[in-house]
Amino acid sequence: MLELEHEIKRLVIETLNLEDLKPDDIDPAAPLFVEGLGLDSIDALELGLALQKSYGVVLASDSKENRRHFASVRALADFVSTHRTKS
Amino acid sequence: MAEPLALEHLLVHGRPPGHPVARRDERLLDFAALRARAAGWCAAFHAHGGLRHALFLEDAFDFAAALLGAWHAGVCVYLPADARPATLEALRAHVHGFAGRAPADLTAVTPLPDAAAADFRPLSPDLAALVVYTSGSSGEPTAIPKRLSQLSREVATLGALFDAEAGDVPVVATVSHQHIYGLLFRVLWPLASGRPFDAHGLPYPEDIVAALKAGPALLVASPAHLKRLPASLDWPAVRGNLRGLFSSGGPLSPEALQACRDLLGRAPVEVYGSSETGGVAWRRRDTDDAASWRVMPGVEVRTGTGAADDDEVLAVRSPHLDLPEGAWFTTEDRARAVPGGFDLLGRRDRLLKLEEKRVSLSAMERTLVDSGLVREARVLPLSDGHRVTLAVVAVPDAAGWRLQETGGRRSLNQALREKLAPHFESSALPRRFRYLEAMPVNPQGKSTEAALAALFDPRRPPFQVLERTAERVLLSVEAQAGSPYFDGHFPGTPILPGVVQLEWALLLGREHFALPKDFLRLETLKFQQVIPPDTRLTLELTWAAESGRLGFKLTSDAGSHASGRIVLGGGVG
Repeated sequence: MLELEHEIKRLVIETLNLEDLKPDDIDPAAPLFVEGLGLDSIDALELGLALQKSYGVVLASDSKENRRHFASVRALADFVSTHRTKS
Repeated sequence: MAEPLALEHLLVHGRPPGHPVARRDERLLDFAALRARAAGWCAAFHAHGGLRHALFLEDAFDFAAALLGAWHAGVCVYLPADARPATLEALRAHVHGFAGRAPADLTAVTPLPDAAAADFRPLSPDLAALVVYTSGSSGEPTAIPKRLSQLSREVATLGALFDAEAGDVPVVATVSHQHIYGLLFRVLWPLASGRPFDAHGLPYPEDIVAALKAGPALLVASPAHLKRLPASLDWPAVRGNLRGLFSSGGPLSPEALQACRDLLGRAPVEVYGSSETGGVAWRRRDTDDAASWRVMPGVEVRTGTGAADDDEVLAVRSPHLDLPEGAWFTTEDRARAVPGGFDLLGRRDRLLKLEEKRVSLSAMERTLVDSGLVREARVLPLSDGHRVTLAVVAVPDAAGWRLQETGGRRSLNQALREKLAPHFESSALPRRFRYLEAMPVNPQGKSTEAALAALFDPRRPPFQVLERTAERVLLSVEAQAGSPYFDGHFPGTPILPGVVQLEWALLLGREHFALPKDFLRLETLKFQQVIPPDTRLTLELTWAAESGRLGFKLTSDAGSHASGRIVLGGGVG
């Protein structure tokens, strides 16, 4: 799980081109959006696409659920580990 | 004091044959020489045919003769700002020929040596005389046509304002006559006022000292040079010979103003204008740092265009402009009117739509400077994959540098984002940041959007300044594994190519020193050890202005990697 968290941190950094940030700088439990990393809804779109490409996970059409998955790196890791169709 | 002559009548009315027009090295070039040379150019343009010619000549006397010869041949002169192959190539579609420097596959027009003494007729004020190119802060260069009357009126204005004080003292210059400011101040105004000018420019501060040592002079300079005057030169010994000082092309920073007062013993006459407007106003800040701009005679200004959010925008009406009777030209600057002139308030708002939301880049820049962490800031849009995000290039002040030293660049990024957060949408907050010792400027003192955007090029390595003096800088440079230069060089065993090491030395050299623009050759180049990905390098750069040599040495914990010297020449780029 820790390894997957680290992978997702790298994916976030690369996808969103977050300069000056290393995986270890991201607190896996901290919120990704608004506070925390300060990401916005367009970043969420891009991140969703990247997750789909890397892990084959498909986001639900339920936005409340999606918001829960995108709450933190840890929540994303949980979501990916249970829904992934690619390894 | 010679009699002032209008440009239209300069060669017709003429001056005594022995009247000094220019100085080249130790020699005086007189009016008879100018007339003969102009006749040769005039005949050459007639013989070549075509009414539009590009002109690039480094020697200001040759340039003046070619320009007058062209005008008397009815030719409109296109002035390229530099002689780089791409610049000349871009002109090819617009002109019938090239005088001076030409693209490699074309023969340049040269003056006919034995042209008969031409029967010069007065020039028409309506002559399509010139096309200059903006060195604007954003976007592609724009062509600006000028009629002879615009140039002639402006030169007359300069004479009315400054002739009495300047007297017969020769003109020397750090700026090129290939730009409108240099053209007017170092060539056309001296020609019209009968004051000699130097054929060669002064690319380095040492050249200014040498020129002043030789005798009294008026110096036509730009902020790019005035803010880089080394205090180590013997200014007190020569500044008595400095009889006039002019600065234009961009704003003069408080530091540069102070350097002028301390080292040169006087504040420059600052001239406000642009390639489009010509000269609009001037001021001399001898004691008052915030002195207002005084409008030039014949020029009118007003603030506001009538639109609600435009009430501070400066507009100009002037004989230096070619507009229909009564029309106003709207500038990109904001101003407040004061009796007899105005105070500049900064650039006009640059608005951008970002993900459907309007953002004022100017307001963001002001907020960044108000944070107390940076002295100067520019915000620019960058295209980042699918979206456009904002990026910041800033010059931190002491508090900002401290923050970066203790917590890394990210702490300063975060601090600035927090200062912006209350005022801007979170999706508009800048994502990428670059911190510099000084903004990259071109010879006109402008930070172009292209130069700023280049700082975000992934090919440019991240670095930190460790030590810095006027001639030497020590940098810590990271050859990151993610650099595109490791791709395919070589598959499986990536190493940093040697040409990239040279490229980095030159790139970072340009950010720290005012280097000449032309690469001449390499000397004593050595590659001692390969550089694998994720090496933290130390790059030592030394700049010897008098010999034009940029020395570099790349080392790391593993020892020496490469060293050598890059020899540069030409004007300051």
